[in-house]
Amino acid sequence: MPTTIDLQVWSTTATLVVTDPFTMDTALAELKAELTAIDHACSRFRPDSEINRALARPGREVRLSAVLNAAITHALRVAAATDYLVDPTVAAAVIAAGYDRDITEVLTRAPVACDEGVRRHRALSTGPTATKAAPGAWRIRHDADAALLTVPPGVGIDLGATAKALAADRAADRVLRAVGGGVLVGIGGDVAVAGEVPDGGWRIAIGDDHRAGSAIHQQVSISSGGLATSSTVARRWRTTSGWTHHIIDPRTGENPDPLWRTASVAAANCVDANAASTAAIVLGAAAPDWLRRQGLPALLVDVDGAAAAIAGWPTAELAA
Amino acid sequence: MNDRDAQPTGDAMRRKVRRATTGVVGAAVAASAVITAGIAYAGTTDGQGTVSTSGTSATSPAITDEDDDAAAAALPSTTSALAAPTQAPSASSGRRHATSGGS
Repeated sequence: MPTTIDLQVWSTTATLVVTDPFTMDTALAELKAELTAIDHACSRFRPDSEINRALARPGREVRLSAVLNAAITHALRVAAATDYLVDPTVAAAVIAAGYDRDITEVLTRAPVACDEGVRRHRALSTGPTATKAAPGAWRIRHDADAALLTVPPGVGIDLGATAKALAADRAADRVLRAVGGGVLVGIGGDVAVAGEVPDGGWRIAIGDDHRAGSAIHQQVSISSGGLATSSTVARRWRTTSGWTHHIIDPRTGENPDPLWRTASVAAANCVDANAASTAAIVLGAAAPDWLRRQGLPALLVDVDGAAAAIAGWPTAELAA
Repeated sequence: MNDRDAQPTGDAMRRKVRRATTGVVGAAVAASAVITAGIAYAGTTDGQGTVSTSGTSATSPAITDEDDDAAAAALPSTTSALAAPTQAPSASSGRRHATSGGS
């Protein structure tokens, strides 16, 4: 009988499920250790994080820890695989939209002007790349074998789009190696599973928000890999010019046109599922064909609540 | 009459044919390996390869701050792809283990 524990991390909820209840203490310790390692390496809200220390040395070659090297590797891989629809150099636009601190503070403070965010960002940036569109991840020089990174001046990196999903993948693998059995790790709605599969599979509810109380569109089961959902109704805040959210189209530096409110994707791992779900929101009307070409099963829910099952995603039990 | 002048026996002829066949097949395998290696090498050096970060700096165009206009036109093509699951999700019921949604 699987046993579950939830904990608060990164202003969201992490869920750990193991099939052997007697291993939970060890499993939880492994999960926390992985979350700490990712936070120290990748957080843009910690002045002392490794990524912020690297960004403080623009144009210079920096040697990376194994954790940040892996995070950069995956961020650049999925950037290329999505034709740069999911691009870590979107950092400046995210900050300009007002997401310049922990999301709890962003959601609770008085509305700010996006223009003020742009001014703040430009004051921090240099050169002609201080515009809202992402400079492009192809400008980043990264040698994964040598663990070396060079970020050009004026280019910021936001690993938020991939680091959370990477944490889920790495933690699931780490816990599995430590305790065996079957493991599910969910972090803010990004889910990775590993090892033995419980009877009926790993049952995952799909909703607009991963927290309890959110409307559930459907429940599915998976037996391996990852499942992630991107939503425009979570991490959403008011500015003096209206509502905005955390998903940015790197091509414009703005929120994409509102078509899908939620995109859920299953993939071989959580990082790829997360990248595809984000890309689907950015692509809008082109998302169904893109997902079919990628062979990625997905559920898209539009702003009116109409649901579309893509590429083998089950149509049964759809709430909408 | 020495051995070289002698007409080959049936067994000797079969041995010669086997040797010749082995030589031709071996040469074909070697040539195939050379061609494959050449194609692989070309794929890693044409600047249009996957941004496998094992060599991002080697496979992506080298872009400096001074050539922004060139950079805009030098977006590398993508040969990598996101990995599909081994099995699509199936509809399920019963007590959920987790929820996937926005955060």
